[in-house]
Amino acid sequence: MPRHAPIAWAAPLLWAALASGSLAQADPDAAARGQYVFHAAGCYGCHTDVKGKGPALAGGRALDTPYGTFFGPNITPDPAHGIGGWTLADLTRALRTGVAPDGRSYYPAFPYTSFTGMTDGDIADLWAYLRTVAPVARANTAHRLKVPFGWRWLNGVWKTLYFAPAPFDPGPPPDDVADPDAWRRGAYLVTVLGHCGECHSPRGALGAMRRDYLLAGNPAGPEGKPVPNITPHKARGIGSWSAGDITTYLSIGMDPDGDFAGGAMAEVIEHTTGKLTKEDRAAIAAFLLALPPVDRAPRRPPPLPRAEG
Amino acid sequence: MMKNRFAFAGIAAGLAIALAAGGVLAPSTAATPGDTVKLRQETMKKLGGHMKAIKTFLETGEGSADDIAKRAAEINDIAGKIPSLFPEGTGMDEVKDPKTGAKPEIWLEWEKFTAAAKGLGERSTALKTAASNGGNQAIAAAFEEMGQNGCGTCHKPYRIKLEK
Repeated sequence: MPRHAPIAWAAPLLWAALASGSLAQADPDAAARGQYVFHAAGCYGCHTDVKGKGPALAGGRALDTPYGTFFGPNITPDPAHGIGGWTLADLTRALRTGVAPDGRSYYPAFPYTSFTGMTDGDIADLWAYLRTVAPVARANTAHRLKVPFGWRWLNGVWKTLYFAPAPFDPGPPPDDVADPDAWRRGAYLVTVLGHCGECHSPRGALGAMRRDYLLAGNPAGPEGKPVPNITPHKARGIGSWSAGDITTYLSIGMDPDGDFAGGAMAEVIEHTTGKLTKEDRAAIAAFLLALPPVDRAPRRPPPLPRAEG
Repeated sequence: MMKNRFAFAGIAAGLAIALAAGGVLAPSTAATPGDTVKLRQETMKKLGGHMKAIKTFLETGEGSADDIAKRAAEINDIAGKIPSLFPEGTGMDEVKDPKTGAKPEIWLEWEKFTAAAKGLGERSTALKTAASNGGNQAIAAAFEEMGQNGCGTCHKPYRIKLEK
């Protein structure tokens, strides 16, 4: 059943809400822009069971982590199993604060910790796009987590320790940055939409991203594989890569040795970075190359738990 | 130019080895699975070398469009040989020395796999055309298309990346 939105809402939103469950007919430009946001945010990979050849965005993709296995949920507009009953406000709250419409907190496997910096415009566009996706009545798969991570109420506690919603603010660009606007765009793509740090940064004992080691590699990434340091450290990171090396890699997956990306990054290239504009890929390269190089090998054992809070 | 001749000589040598070992004409005979994997990896390295050279050309202008056309033709040659470089029994579970990341899915989905190799061939032809007739923008577009849908269609589903 379509859900009735408050009259006070803007007309296109009302229209989109009323059209939920069928093809939305909202502002087509917004949906097109939203599709780009959707690619840049890498939604497809976790919300589609590619291995099981499942329908797009209907969920079910397993994400193996040190905390157990998460299954991406259905984000098609199906009213019973997907997000057909959601409003733009629900999506905004989920992305910015990690809270579901029923008030429960998400696991940080859903990278709201990065998405919290998404702009209003991007969220509204993404919402418009998500309404155009074909609804699929596929029930969600329950996560299979290790004790105590299965206790979902702990997410609220976790959040008070490790998370504060914050708008995007990369601060001033480093002095040697040639194009501050490109750098800023790159910062937004890398740290917010692309949520690159979620895999490329190490996590503490309770799964919080170590911002002090942002993008400096992760010894225990998804699927148990080490994820490389992508700060411009010469020996440990990508300090020997040129901007062109980075954009080529993000576009087709070829590294400076002429070898090709595999595993999770191949998926990211196919569904995310390969679909970005040339300008956006260049912005990512500009941002990464301007990061402080971190002397840290991703294969070092994970850091000991820190007393945080 | 020198580079190009060198790469070509390399391919010719690779071919000669393959022929001598029966690798190209009858993949199931004389060559041991390990030899086949070695030849395969050398061939892919050559392919990677061409890719690198094209990328360098697009970035820095080093080389020439003619050179790109020749490299595209060589990639086309290699694409045609891919099926023969993957005889049964040369997957990651069967061959341990040298290690290979060739997944068993290759032989379970042989038709899809060979279609992907054919797709690389077609895209290398398009790149050759772009290098012969078009400007740098056309070359860049054809290169990206080949990288994403020529190389990627095999490397993503059919290969695991080995630890270096």
